[in-house]
Amino acid sequence: MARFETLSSDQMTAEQKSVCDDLIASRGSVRGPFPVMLHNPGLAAAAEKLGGYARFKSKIEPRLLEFAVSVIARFWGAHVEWVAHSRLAQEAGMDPAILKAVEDGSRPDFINDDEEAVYAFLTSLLNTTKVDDATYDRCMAALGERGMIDLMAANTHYTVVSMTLNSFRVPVPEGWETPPFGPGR
Amino acid sequence: MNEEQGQAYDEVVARGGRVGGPNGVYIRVPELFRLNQELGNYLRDNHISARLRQLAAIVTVRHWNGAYAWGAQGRDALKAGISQEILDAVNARQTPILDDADDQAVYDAALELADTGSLSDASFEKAIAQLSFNVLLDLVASVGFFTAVAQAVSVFEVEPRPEFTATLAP
Repeated sequence: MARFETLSSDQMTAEQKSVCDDLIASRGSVRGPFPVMLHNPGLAAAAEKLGGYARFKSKIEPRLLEFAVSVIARFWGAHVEWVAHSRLAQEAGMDPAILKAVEDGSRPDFINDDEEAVYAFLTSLLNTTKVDDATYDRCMAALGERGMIDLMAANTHYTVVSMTLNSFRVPVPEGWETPPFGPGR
Repeated sequence: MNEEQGQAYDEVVARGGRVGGPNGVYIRVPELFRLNQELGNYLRDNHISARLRQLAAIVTVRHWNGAYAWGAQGRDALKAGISQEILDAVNARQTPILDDADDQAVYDAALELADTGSLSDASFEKAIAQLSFNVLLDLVASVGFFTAVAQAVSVFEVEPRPEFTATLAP
């Protein structure tokens, strides 16, 4: 059960309404972590902007960006983030079998080196807190310097989002299947 | 730095913002540099007090490593009133002795969040009863943010500044 109340518009302050307007302008609706974050509108505003950068201004191509977000979502066991971004990854060209392996927590068989490089980088960072030079260099070869920066920007936003979704038990939208893992690790 | 980067840097310095750690890398993309500051600035001055935020920061950075982040957050923790004994215990991965109920609630929740990214039913109930919804929400966001700060300084191999007195134990 959700651990938060979704504010109706007549419960919102002017600041909260203004953040809602920004969310609707950039994303079409107020979803995911934002109904929780809106309780602290300054947080929602900062996350709306950082997330907007990480998602819409990233120099990482959508296939690799959405795959990276899926790996982060799976690591933290964040339901809404996983269902939303694994679908975006698939729409952007990720092989469903690779996403299924990530969902199952098993190592995917990669055909594309760039996907393998991003996966190896993130799994090393998330599971061991560090990345050796060879793994870093392969990811850098796949994404470029700006891509590495944008990857860590996405990591910042989606780590905050993951922990918010999990801690406040944000349910997956109606009609979506709840993932077979989490919430949390 | 080019002109745009220099302008973003000067703006942030003028407002007392942060230019070290991952920000030293993010300055290459001025828009990201500014937006990352905005989230950090929000967390530095909101529902959660400086003391509780810094307690969460050191617990998180200890879990995720990142020597630069330990130096910076350890310094800020001492400044916010966290004792050297608490800092040393967290650094040594020992359970600190906390006399304050808010400190204990933040320590317990931050440790669980940094490790699992979530809170069990019992932990959530305990945390929200002690801290309030708004403080807990800022706490959750702080642990997420400092997790990513620690990860970023590790990835980009940002070296601790020589003037840092807090040194991350192995």
